[in-house]
Amino acid sequence: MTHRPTGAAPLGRRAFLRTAAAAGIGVSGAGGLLSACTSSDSGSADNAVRNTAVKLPAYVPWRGVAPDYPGTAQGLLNGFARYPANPARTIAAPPAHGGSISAFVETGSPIPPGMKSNPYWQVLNQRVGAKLDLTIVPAADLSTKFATLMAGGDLPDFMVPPLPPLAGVRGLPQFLAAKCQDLTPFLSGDAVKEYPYLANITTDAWRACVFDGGIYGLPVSRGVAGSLMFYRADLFEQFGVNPAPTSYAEFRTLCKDVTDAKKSRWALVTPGSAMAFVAQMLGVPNGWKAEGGKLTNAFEDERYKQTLSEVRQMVKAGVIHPDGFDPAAPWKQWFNAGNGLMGEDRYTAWPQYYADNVVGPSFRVGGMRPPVFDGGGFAGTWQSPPVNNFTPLKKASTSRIKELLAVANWLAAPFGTEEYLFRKFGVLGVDYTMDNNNPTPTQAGLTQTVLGVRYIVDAPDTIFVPGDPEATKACWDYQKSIIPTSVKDPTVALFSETYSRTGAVLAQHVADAANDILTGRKSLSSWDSAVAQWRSAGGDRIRAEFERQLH
Amino acid sequence: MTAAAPPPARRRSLWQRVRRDRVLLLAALPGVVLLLVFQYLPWLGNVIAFKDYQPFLGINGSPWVGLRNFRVIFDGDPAFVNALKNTLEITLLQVLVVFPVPIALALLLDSLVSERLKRTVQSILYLPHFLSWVIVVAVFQQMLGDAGLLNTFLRTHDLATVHVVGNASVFKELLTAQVLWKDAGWSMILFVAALSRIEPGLYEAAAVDGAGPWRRIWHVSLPGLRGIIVLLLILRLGESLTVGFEQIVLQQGGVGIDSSEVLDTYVFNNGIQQGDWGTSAAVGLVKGLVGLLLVLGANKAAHRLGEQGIYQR
Repeated sequence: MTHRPTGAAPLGRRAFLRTAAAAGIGVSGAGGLLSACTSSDSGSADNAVRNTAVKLPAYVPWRGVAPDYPGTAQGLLNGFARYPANPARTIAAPPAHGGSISAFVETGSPIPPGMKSNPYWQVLNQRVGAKLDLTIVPAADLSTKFATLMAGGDLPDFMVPPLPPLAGVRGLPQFLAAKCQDLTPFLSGDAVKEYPYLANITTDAWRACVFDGGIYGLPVSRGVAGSLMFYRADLFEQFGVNPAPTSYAEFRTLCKDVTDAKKSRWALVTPGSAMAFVAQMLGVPNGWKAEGGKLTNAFEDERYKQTLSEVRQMVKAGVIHPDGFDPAAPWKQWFNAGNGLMGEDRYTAWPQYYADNVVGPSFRVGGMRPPVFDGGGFAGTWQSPPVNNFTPLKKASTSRIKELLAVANWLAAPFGTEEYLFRKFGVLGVDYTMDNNNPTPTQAGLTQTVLGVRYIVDAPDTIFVPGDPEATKACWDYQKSIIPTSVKDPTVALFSETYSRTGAVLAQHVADAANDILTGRKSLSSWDSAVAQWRSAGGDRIRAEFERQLH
Repeated sequence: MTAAAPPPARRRSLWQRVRRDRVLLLAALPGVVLLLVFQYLPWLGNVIAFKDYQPFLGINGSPWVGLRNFRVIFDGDPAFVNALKNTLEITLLQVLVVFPVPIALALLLDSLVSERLKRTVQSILYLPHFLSWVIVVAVFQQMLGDAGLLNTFLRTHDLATVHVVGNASVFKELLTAQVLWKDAGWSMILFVAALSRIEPGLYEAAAVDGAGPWRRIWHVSLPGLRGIIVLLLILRLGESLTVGFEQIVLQQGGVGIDSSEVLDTYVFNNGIQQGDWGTSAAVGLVKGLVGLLLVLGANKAAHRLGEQGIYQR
């Protein structure tokens, strides 16, 4: 399943910005009304209190199917060895009553064919009961396109706003209050039970939809497992290299052992992958560290500087793909082709790597846990935020909002239902084939079904690698092993206007400074002035805005 | 014959002229309307340079802020100054290096005798113009990148590798090389056309007078091209604050902001991406004004030197 890419992105600009984990910047969710438009007023304590007072939708988990590998309340996802047999259609009538429904959504896949030449889209319209008028935007263009969407004034029914680490919407809370529907009366507390599949979404995910003292959107929830170091298990085995280093020294040796530049083979796909992995070994905070109501950013941590110094040595040693600094580097292809054997990526990429596999049935990936830097057990990994995005609705009449929420309910039908199977895989025999309860997409399915409707709202995520129970189990096992010790970003679900607006540009400057050091253009000591600049250019304001909301 | 009637007025009234040219005017109308709607009308939007524009409030609803948006320019925001410096450096490099190349190519091409060869060479030279920047950048990456064709070859033969792509210290040269490869052949076409209009008799006369190939270029070809060279140079000056936005944005990440930020990317990164439309508009407005002044100034200078320039007085 495709998502906003994270993880192994090289240390450069846009890709870097999306690398919340690698950059050491937390992705924040919501909260906090902004008075007026000056950033210094944002995130006041009053509004934090107003947001905390919002009664979130009740959580009523759907128990229609039993997972093969059950999840936990801590954030471990349910795993499924195969799709449940004979999935039932759980919503009899189309949720909408004709007309059309417009949505502005993102996608991480190539843009699919338009409605007229896309049979899947046409069937989807029938199932929903309305013409779905979708504007599908590549994730990288989301910030710019959303800004022009707002300037155009003609808002769609559903819209996916860019959130940090993408450049966010200026004055997001005011925008929501002025133009978007307060969903609190429809969803707060027990009201959500009218939409059982929306009630199946976790409370943590809903928290990211709270702004200006109300529920202003629908969440696309994700597991908190975050990014991890993927490695090519098949090649490691072939080279006879142990993929479980017990210290940084062992990790470095391992990197040297698998690198063979003459055969165009490097240990790591990007410097960003190395940064994230080594930083976790050293215990660098996940974005921010909260202590006694005070926040310290990862960049300000001495250990981040040490990470830079170590990774600089790795760049020098030539164990990282030499073109990995390019932000547009096709590192996923390198990984699949065996040009790079390790890469940091979000857990959701696990099935994606199998789907994109060009090697054949021997292809295997695994998740490498970061050891404590000097040895002695495993280091804590960085959690990711509980949502990918949230989706506000345009202001409308009560009956229209209820219709749209019914559609959202249909769109959130969970794993195990017929609706989910249709939504993700399409029409049996056309978009996918079913073999032993394992849906396998056809070429038509791969291109036509990626409409981005999964970013309007989605069922809770699951672990499922179609056709490969062993890979599903490996992914679930990995998550199970890291979640208990994983570290949360304390600013998740807090809102900072400065961070939302300038976080992307600030991260860019910091990434440039880091790249200067990693490539050897500047010395390690230049880092201190880069951090000082980050602080004065907005870092300190972001800190203050977050701190006011810490409880 | 004292009370001779005054001669009929040569000058017709506006209405008469409109009537006389009505067909031509009608034919021009759609173009004028398009120009008004898509070029002049949007200019009114520049008013947001003086406002704290927020899209969801609309242009009318956004508050006036005077010249606050222009502060980055007048206060010399270091990032802005850096972008300006890079822009000017790249422009200078492009005027000095890129501008003469199509002229040289046109002269070389003109000296080819075989028509077929001429046409083939011309096609090969201008085809890269039709590739998008994404492709051009990718091709350069594949050829010159650290894991590209050249370096892979060097590496497998135990030779030292060369660091070109992603190297901040040669970034401007790389940009220039890309522009040359992509557009030199295309820009050449205008010069080739101008050369073909030169009277062959002039060359013969020069040859009879004992002029060698170099002197023929100097005294016949180049004077024949002078008008178009001046014209294109003036237009280039007007764009001197605009350098390959797409080309640079695509490659900015690898080399860092310091060496790659130009005015257009500055506006994009700081203005549009952050939703700071007011500052974007302010920088764009000043850029446009400076461009206009440069064009007018250069045009005036051209007139003084006896050239036609881009328009006549």
